[in-house]
Amino acid sequence: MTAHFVSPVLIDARHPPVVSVTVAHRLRRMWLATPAMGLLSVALLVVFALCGWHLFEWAFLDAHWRGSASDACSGADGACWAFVIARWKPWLVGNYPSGELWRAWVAFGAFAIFWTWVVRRSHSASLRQVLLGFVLLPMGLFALLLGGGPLPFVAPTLWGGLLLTMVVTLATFASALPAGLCLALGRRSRLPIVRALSGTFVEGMRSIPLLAVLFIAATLLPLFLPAGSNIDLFGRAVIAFALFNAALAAEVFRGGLQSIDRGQLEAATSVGLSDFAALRLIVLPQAVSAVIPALVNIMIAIIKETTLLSVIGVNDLLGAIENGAKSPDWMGESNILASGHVFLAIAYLALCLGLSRYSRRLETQR
Amino acid sequence: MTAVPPSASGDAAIVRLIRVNKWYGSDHALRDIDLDVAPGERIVICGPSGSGKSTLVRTINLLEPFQQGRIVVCGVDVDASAITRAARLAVNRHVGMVFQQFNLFPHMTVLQNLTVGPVFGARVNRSEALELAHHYLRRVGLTEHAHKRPAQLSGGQQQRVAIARALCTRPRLVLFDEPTASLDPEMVNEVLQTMESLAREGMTMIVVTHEMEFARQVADRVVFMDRGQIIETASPDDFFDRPQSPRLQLFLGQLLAH
Amino acid sequence: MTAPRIPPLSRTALLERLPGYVVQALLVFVVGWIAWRAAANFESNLRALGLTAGFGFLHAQAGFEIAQALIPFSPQSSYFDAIVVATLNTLLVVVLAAVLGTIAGLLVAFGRVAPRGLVRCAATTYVEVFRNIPLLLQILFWYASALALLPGVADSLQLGPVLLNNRGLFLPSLHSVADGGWAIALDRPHVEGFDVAGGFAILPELIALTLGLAIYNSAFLAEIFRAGILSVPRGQIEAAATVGLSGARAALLITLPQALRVALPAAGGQYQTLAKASSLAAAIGYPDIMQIVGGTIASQTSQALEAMALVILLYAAINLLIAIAVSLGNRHLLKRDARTT
Repeated sequence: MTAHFVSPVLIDARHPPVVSVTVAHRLRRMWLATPAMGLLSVALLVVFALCGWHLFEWAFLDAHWRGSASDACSGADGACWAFVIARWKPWLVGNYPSGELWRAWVAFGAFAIFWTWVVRRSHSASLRQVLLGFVLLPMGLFALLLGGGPLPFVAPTLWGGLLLTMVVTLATFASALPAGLCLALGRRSRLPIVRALSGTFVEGMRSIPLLAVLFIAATLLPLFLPAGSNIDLFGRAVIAFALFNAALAAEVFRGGLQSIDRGQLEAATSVGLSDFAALRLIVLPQAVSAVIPALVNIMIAIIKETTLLSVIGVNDLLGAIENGAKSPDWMGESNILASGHVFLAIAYLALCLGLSRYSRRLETQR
Repeated sequence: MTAVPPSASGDAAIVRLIRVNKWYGSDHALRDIDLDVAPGERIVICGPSGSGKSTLVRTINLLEPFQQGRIVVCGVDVDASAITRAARLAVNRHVGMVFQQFNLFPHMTVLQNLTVGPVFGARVNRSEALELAHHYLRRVGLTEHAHKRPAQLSGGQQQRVAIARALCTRPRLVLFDEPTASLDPEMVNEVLQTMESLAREGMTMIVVTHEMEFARQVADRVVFMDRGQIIETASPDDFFDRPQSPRLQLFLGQLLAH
Repeated sequence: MTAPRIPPLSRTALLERLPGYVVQALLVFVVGWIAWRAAANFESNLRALGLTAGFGFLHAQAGFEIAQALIPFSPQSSYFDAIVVATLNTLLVVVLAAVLGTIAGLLVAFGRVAPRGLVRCAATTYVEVFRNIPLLLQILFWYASALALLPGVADSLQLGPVLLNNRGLFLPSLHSVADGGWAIALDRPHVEGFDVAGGFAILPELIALTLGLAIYNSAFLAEIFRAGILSVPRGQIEAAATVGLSGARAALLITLPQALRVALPAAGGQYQTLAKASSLAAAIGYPDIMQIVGGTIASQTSQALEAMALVILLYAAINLLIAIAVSLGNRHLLKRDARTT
């Protein structure tokens, strides 16, 4: 006969015991979990230390900070930050006329303010406002920088550097996203021709390199337009970027739309909503919301893609540095170009890493 | 404010299915279905899984098309050759549905879930829709949750919101597709009680369910389906105590054994 | 009972479909009109410039050298041969970069899932750094460094039969002796004037392109493999431990195969991206499809349309090839699973 036990009292929850983890213990757990890990960690540490020291030496101790020509960086030992500092104007704004630079600063400022607002806004409270902002901001910046009318006209061929990169990124993002959404909806359409056209475009664009699309836009597009009409290189490049990334966005949106449970549509129908109302009120908000991290990733990709502009001769951030290293003032020393590259790496890292972190944060927030 | 029309007798049938046949590809899912539902009637449909109960109910509000036959729902006459989007919209303005998976809109609050159909579908003006929404929230006992998101509610609460959402469109008929099948046992009762009180008010209901106690207490007629066909129909007492067809006897035997 | 034919649609149903038909007809008309206008413009613009169209140029002599040719190529070879050489060069760099990138990606992926520590930190840093620096910048960096570090032709480094200078890495090549038979001679590279004669050249462009592509894509592949590794249920590792497998052996025998199965589709997509990204060869002058067909041939023949059409065709074909390979691999993995049950 087994004993019958009934607990007399209910036990309150207590705090767990405090375990003091010594530094040594933590270190050991971190590096010596297994002998192999320990070895690897030590090896990595040595490699890091050596590389780190050389990098530090190159970037700071032996670096040249002042000067306006290549002779300032003679002796290819350290970084030539003088090159970067002296040419701040080309890599920031390209050949934008000095008298109108204030417009460039306003543009940068406006973007910084907008971005801070986007990052800090209460989650999903005003998604529509953010999307609207992303479409309106590039238009506003474009009008400001282009001029014409009260403001003196500044041709896009004069734009360059970070300014150009920013404008192209925003313009591409603003046009590719709505186009991509339309394409994604088109692929799900009842009408077979709409489906076929959207599908062909998206699959076709996705199977060729962006550089090919850029080449075609740069060299072939003028041949297909009526003689005499002219879209300048900048415009053609933006069109190419927008079309290419529209296909990418279409795939992202397609995934989002597919992820919406069929029951949502059925429930929408059963409460009397038409197909269009159901799409607008029920399906799209959920689908777009679900793919926002992927959309941010597209923006990161666009920033990296802008470097291709330098290959077709548009003066983006990368192009500005590369052209600078080939200018008569700065030719010669090998560490000049290397310094430019390192600076660019840091710049792009700052831009893209920040966005990447933001995208990750968005993903974990939902 | 009464939102539910009182049950009437001698009125034309609210739902008529006339020789309805439906195929999923080559699978004959509904076979020669003939069914009439009078206003105020409470029908319970039961049967083994795969028997076509859900399909039948979803055909009534045209969520599923059918290939042969004709249905007349709340005056909307739809032949198999004329299943148009307009017809589906027209039917769903009169028919409400409660789903097994609730299907609440997760990006909207409870209140918005209730008002989106009336405001954007039936074009009811906003204040009237809000009044209606609050009325039905009170009815299902969830007033304090009006501004919560569905994810913050329990399963039973979500299903009760779904019932309120169906009622806000002022339907003449409400379809229930296994409303308690996805609920934890302790929440089944609150939903069944809501449905019972709805039935007491005279709402025409067609319920697909395995809850036999509910059928006994609430139904006017119980329908047994197997393999796409209506095998037997009877009053609850006759249905459970004096089943006629061998298939139904087998089914009830299996139910009771479990 | 067999399924009936769909009943003929009633008038109301047909009426409802009418707008759909109208829209589609309109679309076809608009797209057709745009295509027609574009073709007309193209024709008139070509005539104004005095250029020709058509693929006749494929048989003409190329008239240029290609620095790296896996099949014999000279300025007397045809444009068609040039295209073949360019395609082979593209495939070469894609395969090299894919292999290296996969190996690196796997290593970094395992580093990413290691317990918290220096190894994991290093792997994470690797991924974040190389994913976020634009590929073109990375390629230019390797190219500039490679060129900067290597000596000129006159000061070539001699490592046995191998010659190293800023024109490339020259390996001895084999060729059959002129009088036929099976005799094979070694063709040692040697400096001749301002150039290097003999041997097989590994261009610095190839090295830079391969390094850049491999490292950049390895960062993405690492994340893909990591997702695959994480998708293997914990129970597998635990079960492996109960039968005496742990650590590296468990990783290799248990985790890796299952992880690869999950990762294959996404990795395939990344390889497709890699193949398309190889087109950046045009930025540093590596003779691949983009550089030779889209660049040299297009400008030399002034037939940009035909050239770019070929470029599109070739890259789309490579894309398709990779997709087919991935789907074959998928099927093979599924079959293998089915067999063992």
